[in-house]
Amino acid sequence: MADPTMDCPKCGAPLEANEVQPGTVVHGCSHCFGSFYSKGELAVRLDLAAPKTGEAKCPRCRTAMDKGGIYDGRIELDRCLACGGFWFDAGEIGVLRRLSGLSQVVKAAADPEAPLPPLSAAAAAPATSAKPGAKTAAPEPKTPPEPKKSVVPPEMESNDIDLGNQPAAVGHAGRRFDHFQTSIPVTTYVLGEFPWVAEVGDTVRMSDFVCPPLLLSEETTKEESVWTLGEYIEPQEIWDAFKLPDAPPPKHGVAAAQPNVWTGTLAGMRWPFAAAAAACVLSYLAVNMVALRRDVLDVGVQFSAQDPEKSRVTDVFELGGRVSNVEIELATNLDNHWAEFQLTLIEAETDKAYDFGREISYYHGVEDGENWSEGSSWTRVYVPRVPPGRYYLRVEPETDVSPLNLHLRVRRDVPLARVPLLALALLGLPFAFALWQSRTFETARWMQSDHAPVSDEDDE
Amino acid sequence: MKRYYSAYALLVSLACAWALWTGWWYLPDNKLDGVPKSVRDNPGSYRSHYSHYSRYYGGK
Repeated sequence: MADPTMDCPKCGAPLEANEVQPGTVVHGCSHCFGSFYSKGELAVRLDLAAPKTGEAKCPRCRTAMDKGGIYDGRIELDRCLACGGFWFDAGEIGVLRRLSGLSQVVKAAADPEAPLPPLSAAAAAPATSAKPGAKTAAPEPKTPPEPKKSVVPPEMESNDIDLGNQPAAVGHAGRRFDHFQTSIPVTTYVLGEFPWVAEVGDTVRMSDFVCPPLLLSEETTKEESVWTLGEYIEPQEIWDAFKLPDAPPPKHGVAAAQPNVWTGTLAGMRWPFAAAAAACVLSYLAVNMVALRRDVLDVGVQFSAQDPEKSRVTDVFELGGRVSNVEIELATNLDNHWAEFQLTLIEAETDKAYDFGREISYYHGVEDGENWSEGSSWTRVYVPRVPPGRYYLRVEPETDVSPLNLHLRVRRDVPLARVPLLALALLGLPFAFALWQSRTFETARWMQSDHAPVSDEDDE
Repeated sequence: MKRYYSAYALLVSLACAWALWTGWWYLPDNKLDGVPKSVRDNPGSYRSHYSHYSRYYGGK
């Protein structure tokens, strides 16, 4: 419960009194998760190295607290010289437990007068570095505590928080679980009942491995290693199961084991895509085999600036077969020049026509010792879906090149490779969209892991 | 989603086959009616819709 008489020295929030064992009350901050231990509550005596007056005020007696390090500065503690209390920032109690080798840092209530165990050699503060006049403890014997027999990996035995050397994946029940993250969570607040002794400052090394929707977690302490298998369940399912009112809160981000719906979508699209792509290619090959590709006109025309009428018409030619396209090739003698052509494919027996224009430009030269060219002296036009019949072409150039030689070649029924290519692009668009969505989903998932493609630190 | 994409893929492949068979390709509407028959004998009696096609002044 909140203690109105004590405020957090770091964030100013009211501290909450927690009776961690009969007769021992530790004050904790539920905002910044720091904790205050009064004199005599700690099971180990702490001497700060080179203490200096800090900014924090003691939550109990309001006097300025000293700030100094222990264990070669690995922990920076605040100590009140007036009342003898210590302030631990979030996580520092857990680090102290690991560095000191003590299973509990709170003094056992059954033996309140028991002498405090010695600090390890690394933790003992040199007496000469203590603040002059400060109440420092006498140097302790340089006897490190007897380490317990441990089952944890070697890196946990060191005094550093080492999260390395994790397996990339583990196997369970025939599934591969990829390593997601490893952390050392610290108990900062305890609420409810537990079948084991839970204490503020408890730490474990926790590794999560994911195989959506399953999550395999390993919790390692100095005594044991516990594996837990969990499964992601949609919030609505929980809501329905417990018949909760209203709707579940909206989801934010992507959970570690949340299934990627786009993975299934992609798998489902694979075969239709392959079948349709094969059908498009086969259609092209089949039409190619029966295509006429018939030359119906091959003629040269010359235009001159002296001509009173610039436009020309060709002889009538026959376009046979079914409704199909017509390829018109225009080749010119343009050299470092341009020309525009207005073309009309006119059906000789009726008043129907196909009107279109094309521009041809061809430039080349040498610049800084390098040859360059731009454009081309010829082009092709495809007139789509032309019914069979008798046709002729009207051509009208627009250029100041004289004489302008134009070679016209007309072919009937020429299948275009760009048609199946367009079809493949259309087929691939939804596929690419689903792939992009899937990647975005996975990126959002793994951004929260130890294997983030771009970490927050990179942004700084 | 698989059902919708399958239908879409079938539609695209059918459209591809139809376009290949009929010679379809995208081209701005260029069909004309009412072209005078005199064009055959007098080409200058008709002016293309593209007579004012934008000019290109390419090259470096």
